[in-house]
Amino acid sequence: MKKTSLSSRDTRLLSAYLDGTLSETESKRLERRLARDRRLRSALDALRESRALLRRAPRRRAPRAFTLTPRMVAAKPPLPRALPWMQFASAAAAFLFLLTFIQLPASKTASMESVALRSQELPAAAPAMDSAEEAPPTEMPEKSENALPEAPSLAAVSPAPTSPALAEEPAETVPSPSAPAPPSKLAWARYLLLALAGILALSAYLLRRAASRKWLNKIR
Amino acid sequence: MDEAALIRAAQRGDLDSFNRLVLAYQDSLYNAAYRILGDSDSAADAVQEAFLSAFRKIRSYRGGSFRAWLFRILTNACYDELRRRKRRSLVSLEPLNAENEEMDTPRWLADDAPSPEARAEMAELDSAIQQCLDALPPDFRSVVVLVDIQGLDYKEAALALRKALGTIKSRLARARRRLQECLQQFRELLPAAFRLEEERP
Repeated sequence: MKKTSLSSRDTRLLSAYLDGTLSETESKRLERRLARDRRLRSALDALRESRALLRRAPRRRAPRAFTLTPRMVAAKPPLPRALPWMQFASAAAAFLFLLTFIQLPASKTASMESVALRSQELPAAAPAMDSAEEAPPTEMPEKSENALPEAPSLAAVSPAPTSPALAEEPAETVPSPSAPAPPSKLAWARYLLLALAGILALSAYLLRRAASRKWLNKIR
Repeated sequence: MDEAALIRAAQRGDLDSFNRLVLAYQDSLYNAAYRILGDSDSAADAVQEAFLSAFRKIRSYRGGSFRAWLFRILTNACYDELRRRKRRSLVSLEPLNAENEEMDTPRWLADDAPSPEARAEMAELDSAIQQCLDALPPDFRSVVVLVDIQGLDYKEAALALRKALGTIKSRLARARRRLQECLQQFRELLPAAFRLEEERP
């Protein structure tokens, strides 16, 4: 008499029969089988017994009142103080990252030059964003204004961006430009900015989550 | 005020009316959450979360069994907690999914048997029941908790768990059978509890 040999169909039938949810014909058919099948009968008894045990399971009462206060209902978790500037900084980093793409089609030399420029200023710009949120936007427009108008004029003067143009222009702005380096520097700057944006956004999210959890615990 | 009037008042934003509903239902919600989650702190958290979320979305309640509606929100809160645990432990809680639920699943039928020492320590029917419930996959556990422990009918359980009636029936049957096999192990340890049952007609 193995209990596990009961098919799942029979288990379903017995369970529904216990709850009185079988149709009349189904009940009659099952009762006829029960009358001649001892194994089925004992399975039904066992099921009935465990259902009764569950019904008599000690009931736990709420350990406290779960009523809501107006504060719980209305209030939203207070924002951590660091959150606004973190969100701003991550947006700024993402904006800078996008800017590295916008300058590319203007002209090779212009982009190379601006990369050389930026890669020098970047280490300074990134900490600036961390400490003061106004820093990036005031700095950036200047830079892009410098870089963009130059591009058409450069292209007009020297249709093929050759060494004279390169030699002339960077000499004024950048003391020692190493010609083969820029593309990798651009990529490096992108990764840095992207990583920065990601890290800031993630920490903003984690901060908010931690704050709302703490708040939920407090209001209880 | 009757329940329907309290619900209507709560839908107009009356927190006092809602709190009267909270007091009326908090014991059954807490009991169900405790049986599904297996510990009192998580159960209390789930209940508080459920009531808060119930108040926020009470306008979406459109009649029918209010109890089932509440239990739906509660089971969602419990499932959230179970998912959090799953992420933490990386141990699968659900050997079954909705598709293969009709399959025979020897894994959850076979394992989770308590050790003899553990059984010896469990002198109470309460913890025996909880241990057997804990061994069930959450989808099966919640059905049996709602129907057999909380006394919901099939329709209410289907509503609360957003499952078809047929799914509820078959999950309930399998859960009961599994529980019965599990509780069998405690029969010798809990003769009094079982004897009471045998006296019933």
